[in-house]
Amino acid sequence: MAALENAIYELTLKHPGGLTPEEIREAMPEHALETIVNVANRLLQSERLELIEIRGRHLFRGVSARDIERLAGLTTDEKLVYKHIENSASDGIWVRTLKQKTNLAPTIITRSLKVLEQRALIKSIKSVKHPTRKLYMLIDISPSSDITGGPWYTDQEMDTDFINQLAHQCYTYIYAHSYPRHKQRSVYSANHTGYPKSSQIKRFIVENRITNVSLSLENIEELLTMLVYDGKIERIAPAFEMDVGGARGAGGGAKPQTDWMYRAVRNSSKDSPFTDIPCGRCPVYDRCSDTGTITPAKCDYFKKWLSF
Amino acid sequence: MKYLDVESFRAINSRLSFPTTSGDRHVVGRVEGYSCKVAGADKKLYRYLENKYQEDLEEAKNLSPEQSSLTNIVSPFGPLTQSASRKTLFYLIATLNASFPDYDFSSLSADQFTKEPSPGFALKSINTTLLNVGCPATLRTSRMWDSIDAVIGIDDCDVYSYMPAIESDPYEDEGPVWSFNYFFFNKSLKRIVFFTCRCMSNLDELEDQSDQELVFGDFIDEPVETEFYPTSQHALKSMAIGGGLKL
Repeated sequence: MAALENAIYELTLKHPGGLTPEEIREAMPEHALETIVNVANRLLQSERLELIEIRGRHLFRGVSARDIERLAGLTTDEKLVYKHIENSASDGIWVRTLKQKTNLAPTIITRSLKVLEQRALIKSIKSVKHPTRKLYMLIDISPSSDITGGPWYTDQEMDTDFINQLAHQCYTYIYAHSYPRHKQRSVYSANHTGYPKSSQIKRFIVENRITNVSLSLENIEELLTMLVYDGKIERIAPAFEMDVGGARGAGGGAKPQTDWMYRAVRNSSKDSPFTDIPCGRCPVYDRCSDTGTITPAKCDYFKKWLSF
Repeated sequence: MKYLDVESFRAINSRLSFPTTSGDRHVVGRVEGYSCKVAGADKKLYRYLENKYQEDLEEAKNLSPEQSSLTNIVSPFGPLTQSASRKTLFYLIATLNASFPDYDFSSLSADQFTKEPSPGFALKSINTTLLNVGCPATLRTSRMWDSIDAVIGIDDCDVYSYMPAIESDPYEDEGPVWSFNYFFFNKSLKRIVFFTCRCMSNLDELEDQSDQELVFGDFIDEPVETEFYPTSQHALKSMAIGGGLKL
């Protein structure tokens, strides 16, 4: 019997998605289904197997040796709380969600959390999006960048200096590649493709060791989006490629990535001497002529404008 | 902070839940009494806050003089350099922690609280808000303030209000139309009465229901019926009759 127990246990460990008794039987057809179910139930009691439910089906899942050791001696409630925390992986779970999902009384939950914390199985963390919520996760998992804020947050606070400095570096690089240098106030032609792309900007940052914080391409693109919304740079679509159809056909499941280019914005001054003339804002413009009381020669607005 | 189970408060709290006169919102509030007895978990909080303050002081020393003048924080509790002011902040944070058990307010700073000019000021503000929104007669005649006064001696209180940033608001996931949080702190009695209230739109409940399991087919495109009237007078008459008016 012990051999069968071990065999079933080993089998379930190999299938972390869980197995129904029928599936177990498929692997060892020499045993009756009833025998298998009995042995599985014994394993359940000795806590080497656990029962899970997925989409209405009940499955047996093997409990790894590590988990057996961790969960030894915990009450069912505490185990339930632990399981939910484990399921939340790197996002952590809020105490209120825990209450809703387990339907346990708040005092039981608080006590279970205390026990689990004392056993060094879970830890409490803070999210940058909800700094006052009580979140918990397994002790050995790192919180996701959603919770920590990624490179933009240090100790739950947004590192605005870092963000602005880095953004400024990106902007300078983009500006240097946005307009031809040989002639003042000139612009590249319409089909110019030499504007920097996010991958080039990322390479620039990394090669020049501007910061020791490691940044992903997504991080860089977040910065570039910020600059776009600030009105400092603009996104330019790459030139239309004729062989897109062929590439798509071969790619299949690949997501078509748009390789945006970025260019610094250069605002042309909208003021010119023509718009400064007071006639543009004169309330009696319609009645002004060479003769009569309202003439430019006697105009008060002109006097004021010409007196600098 | 030790929760005080005050009999009269139980009655008040059951009456502090009512629909507004406009019919599309409801108000939910509660009054809770606490004694400033420091329990084990609170002591940990106090030590944590003191440590944080000391660290901030250390950091401030490394700043230039003009920057550090900004950190000579004059908080609503008095200058934070005085431990009595820090103690008040600690009591308020501990009260919030006790009243909202799913939350941890230890990261709050003093500038998220304001001090009311006088208890009467807060009283008037609360009364006006509740009356404007249509609090029921049962609440108005319940002598709510007398009960609170019996516990805390309102005239001898410092009254503080908590104005959270959106992400630190314990009501953030319910999205209230308005909310207020008042602390009546009687230093000599070492007690706090916490009065929190929020107003929620009834439409929010409908939204919640639609979140659970969208089944395609729930949304059926029904043709909208439009009636075109030959003249605007017809339209007016039709609207008036439909609305019960007599033209």
